[in-house]
Amino acid sequence: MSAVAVVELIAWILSAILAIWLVSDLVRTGRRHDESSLVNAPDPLEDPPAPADGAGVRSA
Amino acid sequence: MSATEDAPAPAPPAAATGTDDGPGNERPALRRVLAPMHIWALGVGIVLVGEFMGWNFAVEKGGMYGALVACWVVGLLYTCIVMINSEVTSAIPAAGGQYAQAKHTVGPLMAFNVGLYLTLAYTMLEAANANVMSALLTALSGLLGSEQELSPYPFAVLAILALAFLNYRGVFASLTLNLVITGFAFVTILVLFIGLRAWSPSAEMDLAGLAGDATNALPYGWIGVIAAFQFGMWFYLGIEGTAQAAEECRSAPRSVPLGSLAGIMTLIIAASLTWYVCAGTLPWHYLGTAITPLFDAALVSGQDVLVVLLLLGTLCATLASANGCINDASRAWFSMGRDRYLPEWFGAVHPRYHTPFRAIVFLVPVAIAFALLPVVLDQPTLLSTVITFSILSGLLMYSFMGPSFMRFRKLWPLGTIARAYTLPLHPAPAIALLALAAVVFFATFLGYGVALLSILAFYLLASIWFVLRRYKFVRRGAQFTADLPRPQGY
Repeated sequence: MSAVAVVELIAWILSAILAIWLVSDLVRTGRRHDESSLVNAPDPLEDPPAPADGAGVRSA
Repeated sequence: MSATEDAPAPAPPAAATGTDDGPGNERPALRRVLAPMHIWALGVGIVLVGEFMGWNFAVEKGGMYGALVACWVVGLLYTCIVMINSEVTSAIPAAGGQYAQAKHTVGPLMAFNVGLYLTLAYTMLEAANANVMSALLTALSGLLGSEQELSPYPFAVLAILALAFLNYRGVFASLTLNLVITGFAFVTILVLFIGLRAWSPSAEMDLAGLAGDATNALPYGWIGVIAAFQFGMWFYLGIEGTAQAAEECRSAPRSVPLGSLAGIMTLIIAASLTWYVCAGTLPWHYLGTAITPLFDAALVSGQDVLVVLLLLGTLCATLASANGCINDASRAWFSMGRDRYLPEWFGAVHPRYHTPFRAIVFLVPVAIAFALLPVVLDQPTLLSTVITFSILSGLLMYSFMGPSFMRFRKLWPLGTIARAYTLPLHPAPAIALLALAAVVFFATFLGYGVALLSILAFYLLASIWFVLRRYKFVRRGAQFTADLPRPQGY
């Protein structure tokens, strides 16, 4: 096996590890937490925003 | 309409800090950890690759001086963009940047289009960067003496996945990395300038011989200069992305203007140095078609240190650009999900890392597909199509920013809200931006008329889809999220 082939194989293996980790953490996080607690959306029933000390954005 | 101070009672930006995981903090938010230097690194990092490659196609269109005029005129366009962004973002510091601005100043359809421009522009740019990086690694292996050619697939895929992983784990680490590699890439341009003793043009450079003649300077006259404008954008394309990180700044009203304005100054200096060094070392016919002009200038110098440094600088610039693009595209996609312009699933924030994790992962296969498509189909010209799509998406967004800013000033006139940065000479910069964007549109039409019309058709179809199928899901009462007084009749 040439050096180039070894380097390419290492790159593929690392890519596979990263892809597996990303997808598994994505799925695991979704299962462990309530969906409504994850989504960072403003609630229309909350009080509307108004000027604060500094300008900002209302998130969750 | 005018702004009113009769706003409803204050509501604290609940959970907006996102800096703790305490039991009282029900929903995670993006973490506020960024400083001005990170904003600088984000903006300059995305763009600096354009100094290492791409800008030189302006030389082919307009000659040496044509490229210089494009560099400075388009620099003026981006200076207007950065100044406008600085004022609006310091008042509306939301993830999504220009998307959030459009949502507050124009309306949902404009916001949807701007969000889409942003996502596609940065994802395409990321794909192009990964593609170029794999080509550079092949060149590096050749320089190291390898006779076998490296396959472009594994390294493009690895680069995108590794940077996505870094972005997934936290914005602070990913933008700190950008700071280091962007700083290094910028320093390599300075080292090249010093290494070539460019302050003495007669020493190693031949500026008078290569650029001074009319046939080299303006070979196609002023229409060539206009045509060069579309490639002049490469010097600065992406600096507006600094607004995407506003929600993650410790103090957005301070960090965004400081980081963005320092960024555009850095880029104008880097662009001018790049033109000067390349114009004095490479003949214009070659420069106009070169793939890596700065690296080629180092090769011409014959100094091994400069060759290695510039190759590493090009690699770092490519990596920094891809990294910044992942950050910006995911924030735009996340923001649209949060507001239900897209499925709300994308609006999730990771409870541990405080990043828009679903948006980051979703865009990975899209970027990989566009990075590999030119290689898989053996169509190298597809890369330029991908890049053109990115540029045109950016250009469409710039054309809306001038009118949008005028409306912003009308809704919230000076004195009605706190501004950390106030755009001087209003409305001159907004009008200049609109006029310059029109000129660049014309220049793009000269070179890529079919692509421009195709992209306009794509966004038209996307708008129709949004109005007919998606708008019904948007929570209309929850669109005003800025901590600003609501304008009358909003």
